[in-house]
Amino acid sequence: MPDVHSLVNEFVIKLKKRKIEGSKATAKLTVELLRSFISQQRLPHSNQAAALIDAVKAVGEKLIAANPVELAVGNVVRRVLHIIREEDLSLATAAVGGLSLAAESDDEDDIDRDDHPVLSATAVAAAARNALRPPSLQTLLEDIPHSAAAPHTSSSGGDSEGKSKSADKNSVTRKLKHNVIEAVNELIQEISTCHEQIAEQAVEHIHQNEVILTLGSSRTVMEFLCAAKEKKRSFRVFVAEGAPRYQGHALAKELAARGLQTTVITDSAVFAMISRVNMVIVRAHAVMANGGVIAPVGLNMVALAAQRHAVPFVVLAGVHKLCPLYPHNPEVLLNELKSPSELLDFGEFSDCLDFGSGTGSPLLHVVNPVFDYVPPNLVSLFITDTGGHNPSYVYRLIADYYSADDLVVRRKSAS
Amino acid sequence: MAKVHPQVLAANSTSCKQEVFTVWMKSLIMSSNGCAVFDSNGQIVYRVDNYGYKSINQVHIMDAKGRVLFTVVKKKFSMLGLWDGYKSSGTATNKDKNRDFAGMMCNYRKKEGAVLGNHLAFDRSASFILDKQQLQQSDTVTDPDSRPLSPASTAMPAENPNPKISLYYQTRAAHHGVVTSDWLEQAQAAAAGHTEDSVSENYLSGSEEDSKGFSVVDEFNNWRKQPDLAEAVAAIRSLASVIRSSQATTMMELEIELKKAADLLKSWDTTSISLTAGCDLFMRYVTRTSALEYEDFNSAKSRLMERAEKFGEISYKARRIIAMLGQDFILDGCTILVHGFSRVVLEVLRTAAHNKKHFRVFCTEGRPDRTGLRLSNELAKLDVPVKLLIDSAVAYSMDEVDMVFVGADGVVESGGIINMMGTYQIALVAKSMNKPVYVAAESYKFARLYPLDQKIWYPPLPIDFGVPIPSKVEVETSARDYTPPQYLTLLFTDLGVLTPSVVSDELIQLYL
Repeated sequence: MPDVHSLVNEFVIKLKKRKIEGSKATAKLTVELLRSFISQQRLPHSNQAAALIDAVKAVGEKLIAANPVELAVGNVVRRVLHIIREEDLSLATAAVGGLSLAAESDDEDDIDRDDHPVLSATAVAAAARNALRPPSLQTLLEDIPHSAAAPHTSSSGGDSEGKSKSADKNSVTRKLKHNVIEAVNELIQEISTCHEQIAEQAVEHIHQNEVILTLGSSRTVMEFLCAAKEKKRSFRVFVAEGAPRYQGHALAKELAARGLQTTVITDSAVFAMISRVNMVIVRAHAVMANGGVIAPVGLNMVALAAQRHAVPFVVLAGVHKLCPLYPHNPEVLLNELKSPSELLDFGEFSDCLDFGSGTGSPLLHVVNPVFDYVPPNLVSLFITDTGGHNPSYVYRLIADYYSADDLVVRRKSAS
Repeated sequence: MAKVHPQVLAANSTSCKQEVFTVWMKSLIMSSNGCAVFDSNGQIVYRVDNYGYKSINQVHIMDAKGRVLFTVVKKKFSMLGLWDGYKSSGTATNKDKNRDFAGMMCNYRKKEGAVLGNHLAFDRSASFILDKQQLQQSDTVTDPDSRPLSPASTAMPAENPNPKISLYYQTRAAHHGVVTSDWLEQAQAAAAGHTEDSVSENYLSGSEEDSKGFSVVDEFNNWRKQPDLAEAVAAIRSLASVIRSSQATTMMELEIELKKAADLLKSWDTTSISLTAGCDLFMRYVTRTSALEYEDFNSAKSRLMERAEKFGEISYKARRIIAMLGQDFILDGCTILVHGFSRVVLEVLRTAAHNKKHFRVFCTEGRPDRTGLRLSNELAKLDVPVKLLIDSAVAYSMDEVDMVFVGADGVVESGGIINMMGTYQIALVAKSMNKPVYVAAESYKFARLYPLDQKIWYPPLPIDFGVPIPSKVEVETSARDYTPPQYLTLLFTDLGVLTPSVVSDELIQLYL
C-alpha cells in the first residue's frame, strides 16, 4: 500500500511541475498508475464495486487537482470508473441470473419486503442496465427498480437468504478485480494505438492533389498525413509555424523528409492562404461535451478563416481526449499562461518587465496562453479512433464511455 | 351592443331586500346569441335572443328607469366567456379598469349557479354575494369595490361558436393577475394569501360528477392551486392519484381508466404543450410492459403508484437540478437577457444569486402579458440589478449582453423550443451577434411535435393598444412562436446539459 501511495505522490508532483508533455503520454501514465493502484487494493467482501470506486475517486481527485488544465487525466479517471461500474454490472447480471431461482423459493421469508421477492432477473438487469446510461427520459421512468435492485443485490450478501448465494458472491468478488484490470489493460492498449487507428482513416479523407493546412506540430497529424502518403496519394501541405514555439518548423522538416511537398507560412498569413487550401487538419488538446475543442493557440483564428472560406475544419482526437464536461468559461478555466520568455527576450526587455523598477508594477505585460477554444459550430468533423463524427454527435460518444455519476470526481465523505 | 331592459314590474323588481340574480350570457334558443337573467326562484326575469350573426360582447344592465347599472363586457382575450362587470359611472367606457366583478364561462362544467346579486332598487347601490362555493372569501363580499367572481356557465359545448380557450392561460393570468394599475397590490396579496388564486381556482373546480365521486379534474385543480407547481407536474400527480383511487382489478382496466383520465386532462387544455407532453410521458410509462412483469395485480399496482409518485417527485425537483446546472454558466460580471416569465429561469437566477455571483439582468417588457414587469419585481427582491427593456430595444442592447436565458413551453423533436412570442426574434439577434442562447426546460416538456413553420396553435392574446383599433385593422394576436434549434446553444434540463441534437435522440429512445 505505501508503495502505491508513494507512486501516486510522485506522479502528482510530476503533474504539478508540468514535467509530462502531451495528453497521450499523460493519459497512458495515469492509467498505468491506476492499474497498479487497483491491483494493490484490498477490497471488502460485500459491496466491492462501491469501495473500489471510492478509492479510485480519491486518487483521481488528487491527480486532477494537480493539473486541472490537462483534461486527459480527468478523462481516463472517469473511464476507469466507468469500467468498474460496467464490470460490476455484468457480474451482477450473471449472478442474479443464478440467484433468481433461489429467490423465488425464499418468498416466505420476505413478507415485510414489499416487492423485492417478486423481482425477476430480467427486471433487475434491465434496471441495472439503466444505471449505466446517462439520465434520460427512459431511465427516469425505470428509476425505482434500479434503486430497489441495488440494495437487494448488495445486502443479499449479509442476508440469510441462502448459503449458496454467498458462495456465488465469493467467486464474484474475485472476478471483479480481475475483470477490471483486464479492461484497464485494454484501455492502455487503446490509448497507445490511437495514432495508428486515426491514421488508418486518412486515405478516406485526403484525396489526390489536395492542399492541406495545419498549424504547429503534432504527432497525430504527422502520422495521419504520412499514412495518406503511403497509400500513394500525392498532396501538398501548408504548415503554419505556430508561434511562439515554432514547432511548425520541425513538422515541416519531418514532412519534407518523408517526401511531401511542404510550404511554411507564418500564422498571420493563414487568412491570406486559406482560399487556396482544400482542408484544414489539426489536432486537439481536448474535446468538450458540446463539441467544442481546446486546441493550441492560434487555431481559433484558423477555424474562423476556414469558416469564412468554406474550408472543412477537421480535428483529430483520440478518445482519451473526450471530456464529459461542458465548458462554461473555457478561455479562463481551461487555459494556461506560459512564460513570457518565449515571446520576448528577457535580457533586452528587462527594464520594462522588471517588477523592481519604478512604480513596482511593470508597464509591459506579456500574455502567452497555451490554448484556444474553438466553438463547435466551426468544426466540420472529428476523426477519432472509432471513426469520423459530427460535433453534435459527441454526446453519444460520451454516453458510451463515461457514467453520469462520475462527472464530478470527488470522494464521498461517507458511503 | 345589446341593451337589456328589465321586464316591467315583476314583483321583486322594486323590493328592497337583496336579491340574487344570475346572468347567463347565452341565449335560450339553440342557435343564436343572447343572454338570460334568472332570479333566485329560477324564473326568467328577462332574456334577449339575438338572431343576428354577431355575438355579444357587451351587455348593459339597467334599472327600471333605464339607467345603466352595470355593464358586462366580454374580455377581449377570452375566446370563451371571461366577462368583466363594471359598475356604471355614467358614461363608463370599456377601459375602466376598476372592474367590479368578473365572470367566467366554461365548457363542460355545470356551475352551482347563482353568483351575482344586486339591488335592482332605485338606490343604485350594488352589493355582491358570492355563491356557496366561495363563502370563505366573505371579507370580499359586501364591498362594492370588491372583486368577487361570478361564473355563469353554459352546459352545452356545442353551442359555443368559439374555439376552446386555454384555461392554462387563464389560470396563469389569474395566478399572477393581469397587470393593471393595482397590480402590485394583487401581487402582494397573491404572495401573502393566495386569496385571489383560490377564488379563481375554486369556481373552476365545479366538478363533473364521476360515478365514483372522484374526479381527476378536481385533483388536477387542487394541485394547480399552488402557483409554484408546474402544470404538467400537477397533471402527473393527479394521474398518480387516479391509480391510487382506482378500483380496477386488472391491468387493462387500470390502463383504460388512466387513458380516460389522461384524455380528460388533455382536453381540459388542448393548447398547453407541457401538459400534453407530461400526460403522454406518464401514459407511455404506464403502458411499458417491460415494467410490469408481476403476476400479482396488487403488487403491480403498488409498484406503479410508487413510480408515479417518484416521477412526480422527480419532475418537481427538476427545477432545482436545472438551477444547479445553469448557474454554473453564469459568470461574475456578466449580463443576462431574459425573456418571458419562466419559473425555471427564475430559479436558476435565484440559485446564482445565492451563490454570491454578481450579474445583472436585462428584462424584456414582454408585451402583452407584461411578463417582464413580474420578473423584474421578483429579481428586485433578490437584489439583482435589473433593467427593463421594451421588446424593440433588444437588438440595441444586445452587444452589452453576454448570454440569453429563456424558458420553454415545450421542447420539440428537432431540439427547438416553443416559447412566448418574441423568443425567436431574440434568438435571431443573439445568433447574429454571437451570443449564446440558453434554454432551461424540464424533461417532461419534450413533446413529439415537429413544427415546420411558425403557425403554432395557441389562443390569441388580447392586446391592449391603449386606443381603440378601427375595425378594418387586423391585429396579430398569436401568443407563441417556434425557435429552431440552430439558434439555441444549450438546453439545461434535469437530464443534464444537452445540445439541441440530443433531444430527438431522447425521444426516440423513449417512444420506440
